Order: sequence, then structure tokens, then C-alpha cells
Amino acid sequence: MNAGIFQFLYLGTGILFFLAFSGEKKIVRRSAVVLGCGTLALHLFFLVRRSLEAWRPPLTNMYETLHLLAFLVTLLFFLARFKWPIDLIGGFAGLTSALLMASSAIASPEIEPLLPVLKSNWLLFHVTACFIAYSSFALAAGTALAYLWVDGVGRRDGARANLLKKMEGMTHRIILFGYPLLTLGIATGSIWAQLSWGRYWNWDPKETWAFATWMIYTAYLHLKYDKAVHPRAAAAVVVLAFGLVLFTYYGVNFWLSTLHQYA
Amino acid sequence: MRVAIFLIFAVALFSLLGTFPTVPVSADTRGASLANGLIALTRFTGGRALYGSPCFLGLLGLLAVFLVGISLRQGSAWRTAEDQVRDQAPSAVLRFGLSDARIRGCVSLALSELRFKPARAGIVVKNRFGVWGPLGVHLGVLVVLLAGLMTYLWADVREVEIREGESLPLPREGITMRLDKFSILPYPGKDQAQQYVSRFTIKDDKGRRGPRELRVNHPLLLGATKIFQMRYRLEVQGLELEAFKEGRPFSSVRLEQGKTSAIPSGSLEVRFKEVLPDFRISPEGKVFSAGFIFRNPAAKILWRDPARPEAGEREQWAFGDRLSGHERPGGEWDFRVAKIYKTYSSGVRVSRDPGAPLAAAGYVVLIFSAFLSSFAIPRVLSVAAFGADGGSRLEIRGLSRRDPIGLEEEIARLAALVGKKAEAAR
Repeated sequence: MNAGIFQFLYLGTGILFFLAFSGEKKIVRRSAVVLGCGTLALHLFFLVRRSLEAWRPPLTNMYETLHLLAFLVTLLFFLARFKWPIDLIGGFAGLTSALLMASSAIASPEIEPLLPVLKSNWLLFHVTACFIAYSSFALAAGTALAYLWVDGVGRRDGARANLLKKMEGMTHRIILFGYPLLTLGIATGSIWAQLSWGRYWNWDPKETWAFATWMIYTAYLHLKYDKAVHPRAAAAVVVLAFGLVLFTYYGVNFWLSTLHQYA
Repeated sequence: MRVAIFLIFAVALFSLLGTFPTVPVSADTRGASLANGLIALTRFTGGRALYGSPCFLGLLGLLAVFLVGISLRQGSAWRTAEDQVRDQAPSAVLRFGLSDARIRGCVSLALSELRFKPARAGIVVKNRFGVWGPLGVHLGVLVVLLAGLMTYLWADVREVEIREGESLPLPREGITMRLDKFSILPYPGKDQAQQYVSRFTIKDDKGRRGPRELRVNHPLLLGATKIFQMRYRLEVQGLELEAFKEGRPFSSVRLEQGKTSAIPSGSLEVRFKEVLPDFRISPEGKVFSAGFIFRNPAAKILWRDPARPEAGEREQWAFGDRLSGHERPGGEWDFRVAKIYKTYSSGVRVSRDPGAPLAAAGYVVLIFSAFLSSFAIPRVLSVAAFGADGGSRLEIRGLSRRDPIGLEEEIARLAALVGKKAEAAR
């Protein structure tokens, strides 16, 4: 079972949700839900099988974490859908998962033994918390982009205002969900660094970018306090912050020299 | 608030600057004087030097001052919210045909269903304990910053390399640690290391001795000093080489790193160039390294026959057995590596950091407070029912600066629930 299959399935799910949003047809929406849930079930099976083969959770290299992130983004969308059934967000979630799967092509799918530094119980807390946070921020970026898009086009009527308010609320709530998890991820990473490297903060590029990401989401939460700040500006900050998440996760490993090179 | 947001952005963006490599500013570059002026002002020359620059430390200090101020203000924020809620414009105004006393009964049932609790007359609250969330986050960050300051001022962190057989004194602890052996534990049947282990003998001032093991992720705590396994270095000091002439044992010699030795009868001058811990031979006959664990060592031997200087120095691989050597085209001379003399050095970090426990405490506060702050958002409602036009009027006011949209949803839920209960009571 390779990443290409999942890429195709997530892309299909995303396209169907976009069509459901634009056409309001029940059959398309149901197809999107069925395809999305089926893809998630298949992906869960893949992740469990890989965990059993490696005898550890799939959290230790780029290939595994890309799969995990793609899975979590769509899973989180379906969980959020119970409260906010907005098909447009499903389109963004499916597309994001498909892109993540596409980028897994550059990572090695081999199951390698764990490096000594990764043999720690902190791995589970640190990486799991970070990736649930990243997936929620990906979804929040999707809702923020959807907000900006809906805000920028179409007629200004009550239905649209209602949709915008829903998306604004959804973005805020999803970030409120991801923020403590990112805090947990960074804090447990720091405690682990103290045990492993003898310093709880090394100003390593990965740490620094994660810290900056945390600060930007902190700024977003403060922006929400300020009634004078337009939701559009807050949505733009969410999109920018997700850019930082992507660089922290992906870019740092390729462009900067980091102690987290294995990740 | 805006200044705080600006400060947060500034710290985030400034800290990112330090992750990029240093760019030297040459005098003839355009704008060099401005760049050099900035460097003189901030003492920041790029790269990681940023994090120790007065400019960055000042920014963090300013953040800490803000955190103190905000924490002090947040202590009284809840009381202020309860006072202010009555001054808000009503978020929902409902009219009912029932008397105000009956509507109050319906409201009371609806509020308890939505888990609101009475605070004062006409004011109900939910998730009151959630008020500690943001306060805890601010205090947590403040504690971590304070820990960072302690680390910056008083931590003593050193990287030390100890060779097998050497000792490292820790005078502050009255201890000497001697590295007996360093080992790489590989995964069974694989070439990857699953653990690096340094075995020490610890000797204290009173002459007591005891063995201790240091592993990656398992630091050694000796008094207030912590020792961490970081890296290792292998040093091949020499090797025992057996020489064969025309297939028959001729002599053996001990070669030392960087020195040329003579085969005892004086027939050859020999030295070694490199040692592979675990060699393989490609189908093309090329010898290459297959791993770092000493399983099948090979040594590249350089030898010269003084009797025939015109032949020059020749290069030949020697292995642990002669069979491997014979598979390759050989000549008059043939060699075998009988023994390799090697020493490991263990790279350890010796740390005495008074900030570390405080940082851990700060993180614990931060984690719990962040969850509390996100998942227990306090809400304050003022609910008042009045008699009006033969029926009653219900006014709901609310205040939640952290989640106004959630508050609106909650008020809508409450209004719907009261309406339903009033309908049932009719």
C-alpha cells in the first residue's frame, strides 16, 4: 500500500467536498463522506500495520509523520464536522492531506531501527502532541483560507454572513484545541532535551521555529481579545502561522542545520 | 493589548533571525556602515550570537515585565467581569405569555441543564475555574523565562571528552570518574547502534569506589552535577600485522599510528593508512566500509622494499584472514591483521544548571494552564425576567472576552431551552 493510493483517495475526497459545497447536492456530499471515512479507515489500517511491523508508533521519521499528519488532518475535519458541517473545509482538508501524501514521495519508506536518542518514553508525548497540534493548525488554516475566500467573493447576504461567523468561530475553536497541544509538545520536547542533551533549551532551529510558531498562535489568541481587530486580519495571521508550522516541520530539516535532522 | 501583541510578534520574528547563518559584512558593501552601526549597537553579528545579544535579552526582559503586569491584572479580571456583565447590551430579549415568576423557574431549570451556577443575584457563571488558565499560562512563561535567566547567569555546562582509562575530576562534588570502557550496543544482526554506554568507576574523596553506567537519555546524577552521554570518538592507535612471503609466514610487527615500522628481518618498511571496522569487497574488487562496529576489520597497508627503491611504495589491503587477500591479485608479499589496538573516547556533557528544575516546574504550570485556558472558558451571564404587558420579558446579557462567538452560541442555546420549557409549562 503506497502513498500514491492515499494521495489519490484524499484528493478525491477533497474534490467531492468542494463539489458538495458548490452544488449543494446530497449525493455528492454523501459520496464525499463515504470516500473520506473509507480512506481514513484504510489509512488507519496502514498506520497500525506499520506500527506492528516496526513495533513502535509511526512517529520517528519524515515518511511516518507525513502519513500521520495527513490522516489526522482529515480525521480532525470529520470530528469537527459534527459541530460545523461546512463542506468547503472538507475540500481544504482533503487537499491538504493529498499534498502531504504527495510530499512523502521524497522520504524513505524503510523501517529503520530507532536511534539511541529516540529511545525514550518522551517520544510518544512530544511527537504525538506536536502532530495533533499541527493537524489542527492545518485545519484552522483551511478554515481561515475558506473565510478569506468567502469574504472576498460572492454576494453579501445573511447566509454568507452566517457562514463567515461559523468559520470564524470554527477557526478560533480549532486553534484553542491545538494550542495547548503545541504547548505540551514544546514543553515535553524541552524536558526530553534536558534528559538527552543536558540542556532544556538549545536555540536549535527546530526549537526556535516551534517557539516562534507558538508565539504567533499566542498573538492570534490575543488578537481575538481585541474587538477592534477585523476577523479578516485574524484569519490572515492564522494562514501566516501555518506557514511557520510548515517550515518548522518540513523546511528546517532541509534548509537549516538542526539537532532534529532525523525528524 | 496592542503593545503586547506587537511584543509577541517582535520576540517571535527576532528569535527566527538567529536560525539563519551569519552573513559577514564587508566594508565595501553598500549599506555596510548602517549594518556595522547596527552590529555595534546590538552586538549581534548574526547566527546564534543573537540569543546572547543585549537587544534580544532586553526584548525577553520586556516580555517578562509585561507578563508580570498582565498576571497582576488577571487576578482581579473575574470580579471585574461579574461587575461589568450588567452593563452590557442585552444579547437576547425574549417575551413570554407566562408570569415572570414562572419564567424564572424555567430559566433556572435551563441554566442548571447548561451547567451554569449562581454567583450573585441575577448573575450566573460557568467554568469559573477556567479563569486560572490564562493566568497560569502567563505565570508559566514567566517562570520559564526566570529559569532561563538563572541558566544564563549561573549554569556551568561543559563538553568533555574522556578516553578509556582516563579520569575526570568533579571537584565541586568531591568525585573523580574514570572511564573504564565505552561500548556501542548494536541492534541484533544490524549495523545500527541501539545504545551508547560509558562504564565509569566513581571514586569519592573518602576513597569509596563504585561502578556507574551512562547511556543516552539516561543521565548520571552525581550530587548537583548531571552527566549526559553525547558522542564518541574512535582512535586506532596501532595494529599487529603478520607478513607472509610467497605464502609462508615470515614475521609479525606492531604498527603505530603515523609511524613506519620495519619487518624484523629488515626486508620491508610498513605503515598503515586507514582501518575499516567492518569491510566488504564489491564485485569489482573494491574494498569498502559496511559499518562502524568492529566485526571484520581491514587495514590499508603501505609498504616499501628498501632493497628495491625503484619499485616505490605500494598499497595493499590486509584483512583478518589471508583468504580474503588471496582472492585478490597478490604478489610476493601478503599481510594479515592479527590485532587492532583501539581506544574509544566518550564525549559527555557535564552540567550543573540551577535553572533546569525551575524550567521543568514552569513547563508543568504552562501545560496544565494551557489546557485549562482552552477547554474551560469561563462565561458570565446576567439573566433578568420582568413582568410586562400581562406576560414577561427576559433579558440575557453575557460577557466572555476570550470567546465571544462561543458566548453567543451559548446564549442562543439558553434562549431556545427557556423557550422550550416555557412552551411545556404553558
